[in-house]
Amino acid sequence: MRANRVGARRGAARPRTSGSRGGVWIGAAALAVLLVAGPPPAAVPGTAWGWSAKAFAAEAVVAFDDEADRDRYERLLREYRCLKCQNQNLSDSGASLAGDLREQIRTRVVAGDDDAAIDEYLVSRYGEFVRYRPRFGTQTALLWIGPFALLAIGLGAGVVMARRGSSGDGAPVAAETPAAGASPAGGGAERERLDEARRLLADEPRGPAS
Amino acid sequence: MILRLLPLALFLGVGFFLWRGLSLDPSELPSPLIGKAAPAFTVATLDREPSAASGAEDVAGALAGDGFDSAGMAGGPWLLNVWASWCGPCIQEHPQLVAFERESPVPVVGLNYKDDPAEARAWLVRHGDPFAAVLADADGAVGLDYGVYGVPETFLIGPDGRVAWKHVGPIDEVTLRDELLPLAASLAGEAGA
Repeated sequence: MRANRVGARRGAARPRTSGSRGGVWIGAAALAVLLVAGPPPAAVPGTAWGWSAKAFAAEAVVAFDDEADRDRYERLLREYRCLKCQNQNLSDSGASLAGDLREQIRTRVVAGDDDAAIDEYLVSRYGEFVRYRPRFGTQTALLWIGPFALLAIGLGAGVVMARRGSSGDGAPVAAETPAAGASPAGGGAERERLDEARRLLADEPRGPAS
Repeated sequence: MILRLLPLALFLGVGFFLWRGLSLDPSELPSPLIGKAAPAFTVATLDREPSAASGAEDVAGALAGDGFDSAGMAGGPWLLNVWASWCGPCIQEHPQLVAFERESPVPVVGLNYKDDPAEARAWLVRHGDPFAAVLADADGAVGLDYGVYGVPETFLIGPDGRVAWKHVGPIDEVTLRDELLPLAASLAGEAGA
């Protein structure tokens, strides 16, 4: 949210037609990068920031003859990343590269290219990273599955630990019975220790009194 | 026992990825162009003092009138450097390009990205001109085709017309010595053989 505001302000302050002046450009990009303290870029779906696109959109209002074209254009802008700012989509970004890519997408939408053709155009030039919602493939499998795998590992570890913990109390657990029966020696040692503990507990009140 | 080691294993796993992250630059993206045919383009050249052109004969095949056709570069390796006079890191990179031009037979073509021609000319006079040809990509159209998202970027294109190497950001001395020069030499050898 913060990053989007910064981007929008930057976009508004500078006309999109201007050829970037180095210092301002790099400084602004660095500022944007510093302020983006959100989740890792690849994990942010475009729609998560979507609400701000309407309120703080950096792009100039683009005229479309066809309402459906406009909707498609605006949806596509939110699905692709500005490679310069990395954590902003093409709709939010005020970088000049984002302006160029918006123009490319507009031309293609008006020309009637389908989504797949536009996607191919962007991905063949900028790679998978240009997508806010990466395709599921060998390179991105970890990205998609990783969080769920970690969650499963965590839950599994939690369940196992909880079970261990409750059986360690010596509370009667049905699953433990065969194991206890299988090692009578261990059971005997356990009983001895329990007896010892009871004796100590019974002694205790006498301790402070004497 | 395995359960006891699980936290340690998790810690080591997470630690490894975080440690790896320290040496990764998230602004450096892998180019989908590596190993693929370099996009063909024609573009106007930037007018310079005729004496400024160093090694212009290497790119003569691509020059026609005041234009440059990338098809004319087929058969030999060449270096395409995207730069601009408004680009700060380009100044830092420039000595390496000058050294490359001196030490390597591979011609250096400069793509002057979204720049003002007069300022570009003045910049070359001030910082030296290693370019066999300077192309004026005023609207960034060639840059778009090459997936340029920051300046400077440098592409080494092999004799087979494929992008052999790409570098985002300024080329430093280490990159020049350890990566660019050896690779350029081997590609030039391939082309000569």
